[in-house]
This record gives sequence, structure tokens and C-alpha cells, in this order.
Amino acid sequence: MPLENIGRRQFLAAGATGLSTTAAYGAERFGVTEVFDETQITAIVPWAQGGGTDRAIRVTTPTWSDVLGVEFVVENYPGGSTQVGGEQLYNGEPDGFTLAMWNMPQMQATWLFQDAPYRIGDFDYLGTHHWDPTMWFAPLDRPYDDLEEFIEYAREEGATVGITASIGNTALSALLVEETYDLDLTIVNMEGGSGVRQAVLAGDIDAGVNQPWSFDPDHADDVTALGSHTAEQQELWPTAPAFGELGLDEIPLVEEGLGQWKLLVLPGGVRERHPDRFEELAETYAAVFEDEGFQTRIEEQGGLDEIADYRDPEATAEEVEETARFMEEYADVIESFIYDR
Amino acid sequence: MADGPAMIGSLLTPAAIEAGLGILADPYVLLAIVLGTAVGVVFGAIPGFSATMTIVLFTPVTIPFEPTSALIFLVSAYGGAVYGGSIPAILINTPGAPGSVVTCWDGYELTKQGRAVYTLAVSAIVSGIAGLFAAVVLLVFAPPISSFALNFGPPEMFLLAVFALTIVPAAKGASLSKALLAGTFGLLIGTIGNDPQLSQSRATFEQTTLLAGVDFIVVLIGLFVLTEVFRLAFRGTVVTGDEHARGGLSEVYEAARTVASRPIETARGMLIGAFIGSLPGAGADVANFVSYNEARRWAGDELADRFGTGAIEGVIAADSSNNATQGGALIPTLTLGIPGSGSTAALLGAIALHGMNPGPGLFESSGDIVYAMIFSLFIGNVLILLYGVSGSQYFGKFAYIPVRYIIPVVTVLAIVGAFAVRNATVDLYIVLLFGVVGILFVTYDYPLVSLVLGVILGDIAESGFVTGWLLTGESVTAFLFNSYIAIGLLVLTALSLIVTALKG
Repeated sequence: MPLENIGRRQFLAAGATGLSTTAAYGAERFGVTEVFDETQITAIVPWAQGGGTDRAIRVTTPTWSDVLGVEFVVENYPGGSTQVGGEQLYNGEPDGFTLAMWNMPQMQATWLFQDAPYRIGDFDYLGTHHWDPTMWFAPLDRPYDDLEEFIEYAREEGATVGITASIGNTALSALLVEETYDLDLTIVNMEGGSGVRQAVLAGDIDAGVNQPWSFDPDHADDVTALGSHTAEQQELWPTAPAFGELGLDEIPLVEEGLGQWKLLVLPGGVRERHPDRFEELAETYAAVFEDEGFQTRIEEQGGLDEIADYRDPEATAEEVEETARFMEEYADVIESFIYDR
Repeated sequence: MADGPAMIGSLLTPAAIEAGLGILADPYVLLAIVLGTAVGVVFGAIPGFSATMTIVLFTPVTIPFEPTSALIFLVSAYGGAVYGGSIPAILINTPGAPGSVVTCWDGYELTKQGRAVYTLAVSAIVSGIAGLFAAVVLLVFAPPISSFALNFGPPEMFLLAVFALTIVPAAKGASLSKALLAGTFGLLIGTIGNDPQLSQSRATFEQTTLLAGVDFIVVLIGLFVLTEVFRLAFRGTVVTGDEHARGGLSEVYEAARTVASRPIETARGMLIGAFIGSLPGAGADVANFVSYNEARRWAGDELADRFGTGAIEGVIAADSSNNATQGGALIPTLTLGIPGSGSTAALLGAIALHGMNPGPGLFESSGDIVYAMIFSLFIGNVLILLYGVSGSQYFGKFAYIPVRYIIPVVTVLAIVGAFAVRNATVDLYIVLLFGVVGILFVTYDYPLVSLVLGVILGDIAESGFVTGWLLTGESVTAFLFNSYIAIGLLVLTALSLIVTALKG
């Protein structure tokens, strides 16, 4: 076996641990299906442990494992604004034993604004998981209570705005607000949701752009929610007005709603080469969302059940294309941020 | 500055103590602590298997178990792994984890002098005490420390990294110019990968894995483990010279007396560790450098000169700080959902996996389990003390195993550890590359630790500088005098450099 093809589990098993026995626990417990003749599916997370995507997949795989009868092993490949994990998936075998929980528009951004070798057609899309709208937050001691007032403040005083990544939905939201109202914002990449949360709680920035679930609604009393980049109020953070409700309709993507999707993605070719596996994965993944235990589990995760939004493979593929289209439409906005500032 | 979140009340309430202690009375929970600590010590002792790796590896193992036992097992493994990293550092000059780099300096020198048992016992006693101290800090002082840690913004993190970098000129036995060159090389290595602000790649040589940069654990393994393996092969034995190998209980008793007679040194390391651990993004890997540097600075001239040649105070400084980071790192993790270190970030994932939501609501929704986790730290650290002290006489014999057995075992474990960090083949080549670099450094008398320090701190310094620079309006004065904390760090850095210069 070439060195490049040695997986982590084989390598570790050969080297130091007997973990494979434990990892196979689920397979023994539930029995391996005929369609899936191996005992483990690798779930790639293109972010570090403990982040939103990591937590979302980890609360999902136990139920999915119960339904499918195959154990999942979550592997984190952080770095490169999800490109490292993306390439891991892209280079994975299209056999149904490798998948990833990815997020968009970060996914599209890696090939639009970085040098990722893959494109939209290089993957199969299994289903969506949840949609977390883009939301603006501010420290409690600031003299503005919603985005409309923030815009006035920023026009007079200038403002620093923290974003979670330089090329994702939070960056796009900040740039669109800035462009629409001809503001001169200092937009700072805080390198993740934790960074934005810390900066807002500490009062280091005038506003932070994140998602409500990612920010954690338990912080509702600690910050001012300025508004969500949507036409209508979202459910997870009821005190936050929508841009549409504030009359800020001229900001692009308010009607469509700008947010972050988490979705399940497979290496391209699984559906064509192994349709039985693809179907079983799709059916069991859909069944996860009907499971009461899963619903309880995600409810305990800061109200994740409020934004859980399963869509089937076809609808997911359409959503991916639509997101890619608007990212391409606003590519010049982000490119000017990356290259011209 | 905002006052910070107001939702964090005092953690120490009678109801909390009752609930937490009630859970600890469960024999399965006690078993989880015993096993978790033991697993942590063993995995932490394997080069490359840091506390973070240990938690990541064992999180899936805990899935079938109920959340309380599972999380207490992982927290115990975390504490055990931080301590375990010091064992190979003392025995064979190869830190099991980044938090034990500095333990090598004096620990290994003492081993070469036939004092392995004594040094291991000191390390275990100090580690256990520091872990207990950290648990007290977490329980009693979490609310104020949590608010204070929030005020450590990007400029403060940059200045903390600069302060920690002042240890470079103090690197043992090296000329100032060579130490600075090595440190600068480390900082350059730290710039590989996507830039922290606009995510554009730098010096990645078309290697996707390098978009995430060069992992400092991989560098650590190459520099320390492979280099030491080569040196051992040439030297033929771990223990050098004709020193009489000392062992037995008398060494353990002497170790206890040594620690008891140095309360200030131990307390200083613990305070530094608990504080740095509580800062989001900095953990044992930074704390042990700062603690060692401060210990050396506060020592008298005669003692300061012995640092790096086998001063037990150096081991106390390193191991009191790295183990005290446990409690500190759990503070922002449990109270704010903001991980205080890589290990606690992995723990966040495990907490979510077991159906709990880390953050300010955690104490309300799952307070009994959280309190039990905190109380388990007390038992876990007593176990570290017991495992370490009782095991020191046996671990110490490792130094007398013929190198023809040590070399292949350590090499295989190191390579496995390097690969396990992120499952990347390119990391195996990086290990080999830095093994060669390490040999060149040793041959030409450049300090390895300065290079490692540069790699570890490079990322913190760059992110802190770039982000802080933008947040403070690109103003030098606003950046440097961003807060009283920043001013304090500036003063400390200046004093550090002046004292080092005066000491020649």
C-alpha cells in the first residue's frame, strides 16, 4: 500500500493504539448493512474541534449511526478557510465511505477567491443540515440599538466591524452594508466565531458579524443584536430585528436572506458509481431529522432545532448553485476587499 | 471596555458542591477518573500525542457512555496528558507535548547526572500541586478571571507573545546572536500558510496541508526527538559520565523536601500557568516558557547561571506552570464557550457530542455535571501525584535501557505522533527536515528552543499584531497603549530585556 493511501486509523492502529476495537463498537452493536460493507464512514470537518461545524456533525452522527448501522469517525482538517478539508474530500474515494459537513458560502469562496482545484460539479450533495442567518451584534455600552442607528453612528464616527472570515457570508454582509450606505468601515477578520464573540463581549469592536447559533443565544443578555441580514425576523434570536423590518431593503440579499448553510457533501461520483449507497445515505440522513432523540439533542445545543432545515439532495444542489451565483455576482466586492485595501 | 458578560455568577455555592460531590460518589465516575488520568499520562508521554490529541482520539471512545462519566474521563485524560509530557522530556530530552519543552532543559541534564528518579518525583509532586491549585482557581476565581481574560484583545496577545519571546536571548548556553537568528527563523516558519487577515497563501509550495501552516508539534518532534535520537546513537547511553545512578525512596523523599523548600518558585509558576491558561489562544505551550524565564530572572546570579545545566528550579518552573494551565484554560471554555487552548477546544466538541451546550447557559442547564468535572480535577491531580511519585522509580530506569532499544521505539512513536497530528504525509517529511535542521543547529551550537519558541509564538504574534493594528486605527500609540494590560506587558518586556542585558 503506498504511503499516501494509508489512512489515519490504519496508521494509528499499527503504531500505538487499539482504538479500532472501540471505533467499531457501533458496527457490532447495530450490524453492518449489506450496502455498506465496511465498518466506518469518515466525516470530514474542514474546521477545528469545538467550532460550529464540528459541533453540528458530532451531534448528528450518533443518531445517523443508529439509523444506518455504520459507525462514523469525525476527522478535523482545519486551515485554508476550509480549503484543506475541501481538498481532502475532493481527493477522497467516491465510494460513500467519505463525506464532509461543509458550510457555504465558504465552500464556494475557496474556489472563487483562493486557488482550490475543485468546482461545484466535483461533488455530490447529500442534504442540508441547518441555516444560520447572518446577524450583527454590538457591545451593550454602544449608543445604538439596531443596524439603522449603527449606520448613522458609523457615518459620523467611523466604526470597526469584526467578521468571522475574510471571504464568507459575514464578510459579504459587512461589505454590502458598507457599500450600500457609502460608509468607511474598518473591517477586521477575527478568525472565527469565537474571535468575534470575544471581541464583542470585550467591547473591542463596534459591531461583530456572526450567526446567531454560532454566537450562542445564551449570550442574549450580554450583547445588543443589531439585526439579521434577512427580510423577516428569524426565530433563534427573537429580540433581533430583521434588516427588512428595519426598512434596510436596499442592502442586497435581504430578500433572499444571507446566512450560512451547513450541508453534507460527498466526493463527486458516488451517486453515479454507487447509487445504492448514495440512496441509503440520503434516506437515512433524512430519517435523522425525524428522530425524536435527535431533535432533543439539537434542542439542547443552544436551540439548533430552531434553525435545522433538512433539504433533499436535489434541493441541496439547487441551493449550492444559487449560493454560488450570488457569490459570483458579488465577487468584485470581496475581491476589492482582499486585494485593494 | 465593556464590563464583560454579567451572567457569570459565583461558581462556588453549597448546592454546587453538593451536586458535584454527589456525582463523584458514583463508582463508575471514580473509575473514569482513575482510567482517564492513567490514559492521559501514557498518551501524554508519547512524543506528538499532546493533550489535544489525546482528547480527540478518545472522544469517540466515550460515545457509548453516559455524559458525566465520559466528560470526566476526558477531563482527567487532559490533566494526565499535560503531566505525562514531562516524563520523556526528563528522561530522553524529548517533550511529549509542547507544554513540556522547557522541562527538557534542566530535567534532562539532571537525568544525565543520574538524578532521573529525583527529577521525575519533583515533576510529579509539582504537577499534582499545580493541578490542584488550578482546580481551586477554576472553582473560586472563574468569574473575575473570565472577565479579565476577555480584555486580553489582539494587541495584548501580541505584546504577550513579544514578552514571551524575550526568553530567546536567555536561551541556555547560546550566544545572543545565534539565539536571535534561531528565533527569527522560527518566526519565519510561523508565517507559512494562509495569512490571518485575508486568507491568502504564503510559502505553501503547492502543498494544501501547508495552507494551515506548519504545525509546531511536528516541528517539535523533528527538532527534539529525531535530533536526540541521533545524539543518543553517537553517545551510546542516556546517562553520561561516571555519575552514580541514584534511585529508591530516598530520592523521592528528597524530591518532596525540595518542593517543600521552594514554595515561592512553585507558587510563581502556578500563578503564571493559571493566568496564561485562561487567555483564549494561549496554553501550556506558552506558559512554560514564560514561567521558566521569570524563574531565571528572579533567581540570584549564582542560581541563574545554573539554569539549563540541571537546576531543579527550572523543572519546578516549567511543570508548575504547564499543569496549572488546565484550570485556567477551562475558565473561558466553560463560562463563555470560548476555548482557552487547543485542548479545551477539543473538549468543547466532546461536550457538544454529549448533548450539552458550552457557554454561559452550561452552568444552568448542566450545572451538576460541570461541577462534577471541576471536582474531578482534585481527584485527578491527586492521582497524578500518586502515579508520578510511585512510578518515578520505575520510569527512572528507562534512562538505563540500552539505546539500541530506546532509539527504534522512540523513533516509531515519534513518527506515528507526527502523522497523527493532522493525518498528513507532508508532515512526515517536515519531521525529517527538522530532524536534519536540529542536527545542524546542535552541531553549530544554535539553540533549538529558540526556533521552537518562534514557531509557537509566531502565529499568536502575527494574528495579534495584524488584527490589533486594524482595531486600533493603525496608530502606534493606540496599539501599544491600548489598555493597562498592554502597558503592563510593555513594561515587563522592557524590564526583561534590560535585566537580561545587565546580566550579560
